[in-house]
Amino acid sequence: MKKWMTRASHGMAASLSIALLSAPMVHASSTITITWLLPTDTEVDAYAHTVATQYEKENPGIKIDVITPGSTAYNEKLLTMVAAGQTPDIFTDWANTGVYTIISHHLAQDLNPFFKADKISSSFIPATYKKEYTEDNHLYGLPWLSNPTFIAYNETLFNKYHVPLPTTSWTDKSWTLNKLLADAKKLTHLTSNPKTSDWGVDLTPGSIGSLGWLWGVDPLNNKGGPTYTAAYRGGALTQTYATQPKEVEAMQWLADLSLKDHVMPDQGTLTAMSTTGNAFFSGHIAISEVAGWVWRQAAQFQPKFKWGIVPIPYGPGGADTAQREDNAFYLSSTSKHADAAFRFMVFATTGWGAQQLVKVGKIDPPNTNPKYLEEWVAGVDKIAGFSMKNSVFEQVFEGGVNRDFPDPTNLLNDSSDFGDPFTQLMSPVWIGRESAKQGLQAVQSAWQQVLQ
Amino acid sequence: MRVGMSVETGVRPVSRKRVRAGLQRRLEARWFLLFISPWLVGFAVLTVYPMIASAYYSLTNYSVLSPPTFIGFQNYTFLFHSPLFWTSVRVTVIYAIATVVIQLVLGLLVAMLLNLRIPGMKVLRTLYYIPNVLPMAATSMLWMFLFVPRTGVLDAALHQLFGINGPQWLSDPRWALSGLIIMSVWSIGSSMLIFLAGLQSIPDELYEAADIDGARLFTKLRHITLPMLSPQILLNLILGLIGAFQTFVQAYMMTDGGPDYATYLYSLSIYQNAFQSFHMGMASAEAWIMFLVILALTAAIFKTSARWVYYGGGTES
Repeated sequence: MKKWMTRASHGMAASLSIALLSAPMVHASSTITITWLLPTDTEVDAYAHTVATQYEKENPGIKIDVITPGSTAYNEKLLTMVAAGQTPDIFTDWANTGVYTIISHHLAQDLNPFFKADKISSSFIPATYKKEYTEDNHLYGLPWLSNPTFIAYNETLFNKYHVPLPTTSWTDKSWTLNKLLADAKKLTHLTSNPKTSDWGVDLTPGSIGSLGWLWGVDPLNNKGGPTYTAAYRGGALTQTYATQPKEVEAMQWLADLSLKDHVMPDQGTLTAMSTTGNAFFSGHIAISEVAGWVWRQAAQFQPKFKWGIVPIPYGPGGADTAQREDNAFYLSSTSKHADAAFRFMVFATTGWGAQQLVKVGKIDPPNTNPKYLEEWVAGVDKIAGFSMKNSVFEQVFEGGVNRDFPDPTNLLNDSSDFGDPFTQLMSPVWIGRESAKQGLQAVQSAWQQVLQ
Repeated sequence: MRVGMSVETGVRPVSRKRVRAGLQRRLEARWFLLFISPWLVGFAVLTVYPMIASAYYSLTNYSVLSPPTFIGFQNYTFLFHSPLFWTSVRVTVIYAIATVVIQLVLGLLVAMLLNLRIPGMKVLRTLYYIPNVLPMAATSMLWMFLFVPRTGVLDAALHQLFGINGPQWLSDPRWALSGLIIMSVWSIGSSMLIFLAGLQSIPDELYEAADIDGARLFTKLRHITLPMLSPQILLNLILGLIGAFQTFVQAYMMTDGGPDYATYLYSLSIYQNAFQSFHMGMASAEAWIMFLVILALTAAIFKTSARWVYYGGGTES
């Protein structure tokens, strides 16, 4: 027995040694591995694996390791990989890991030298995104996803209550928040059964109160709206402006939609209506603020009603700017195969790769070549219930891309220090326990504590 | 010189039998270490190292994205001066007291009912325990729908039975924590099971003797059941407190700590500091504070247990 056990332990030790010794031998081959971290849903996952497989086929000796932790776990995955010294060669900005959080922590490297070395022009990146991802003349991000904000309308409800559809023109200044409210009142029909009630509108305050942009204010600067001030360039914030009168007015207007005008469902009802991931697809909301991912949601939930999108209405400040959720791919500053990783990034976001973004990922890639937008629009046309003509939809969509300003939480360094207090401290305002002024005073106070 | 020692050396001559026994013991020790080594390695790498590392990180300014820099006890000082830290402490203490009381009282009551000798009892016991084996994420989603104002099951029942309109459970800062506390009723299965095992070990003779003496139900509960169940009450109290202090999933999935920080449980605060605000150093300090508080509470409960826990033949020393 003893002999058997001794032999067994020697055998195990020998096997372990062989396994350990053979490990470097496997890696001694010429194959290099590029790790690519991206948050996924079904379509993005399919896109990532499609381009990775194709690139491996075209480039023997290069292996693309696609890591897809899922949207909600992305941040944690990136942080733990960075902490373990295994920062993925290519990764994206997501959730609270925004553009300037990445840049200020030196996680990414300038892409300009790579463009130069490979004699590739970066002119395929639209100017608005180049501006967003460039700091001190260093281009850090290669945009792959952009989600502007629009107003979605439920055409079936508009027809049911004989309300004319809103304008699709970005320059039509008769499309204002007042007009939206007037339409919402006509479209709201509440019954004793909450499940059969129709609501006029569903709007949000934006990630840190960016609804105020329509009133010509921004809670983090006093320049009359969103601009690339130091705070939005990753710099240190020195002052916040949450309690500006127009910001207070904007937030009170929003709260009143539910509390005074009764045209918007309260938070609890909205939760109940959001079982499809978006309350708009319950079919009982006539006008709703939606972002670019609404088509992906629609493709999944197959709405049974007719719907379309129109521009953001002009606010009392004469502005029609909403927030745009953009994401780019970054090249890790510690990548051991930076050249190869850069080439793969370009492959995945241009030419055939960009077509896969459209075809497989159901994404409109930010690109100066109009053919991708056209291909994407042709695909959107097939989404259940979507009732807009392609040409009209295209101009509404492009207007959103051009007019919107990036989501502040994707620009601010360590944005959750600002985003979380806003979400938490404004919640009593939405149920009428506090006025917008009181809520914003609490937010301003919390932000000042962060600054200190 | 003691009898049996060598004249030349003064050392007791070692018999072959004893040498063999010593060798045997050493051999056994080696085998023991060999077989226990996977656990030892796991314990060292996955428990001891993270604890030491987190103790160090708690003394640093560490964002995870950049290397840590030593700052002494500044994280602890900052936390003790932070209103948000004390909010999370207050919310957690209220939650812990309420859920532990619910789990002890309801767990005991249900265990007593399930201890009755009636047909189908095994099925009922299984049914009561099922919620404990369900993933908390799924349970949280289910409760979110139960808490929906007006159309949710809870509000519908309140309206049907009492004619009252329920509150906005998870959207109203006054009710959100109550919602999470009510939800804890769902997981009384563990404490119920422990109580049930305890109830079944109480000798019937004690109740028979009490019956002969004319004792009523409440008297038997007070003078027989509770003293005999005191070890199980102690166990459930400690497990319940530890569990309540570490509650995370419900607050993360259902309310994200809101509204207005009404459900900002301590574990959620640690998570948000570590992974959303990039203050891993501060999150480590919070984790150590929680560890020390739980340790102190457990020690205090154990210390007082000598006075109220009955271990059959006498109190455990």
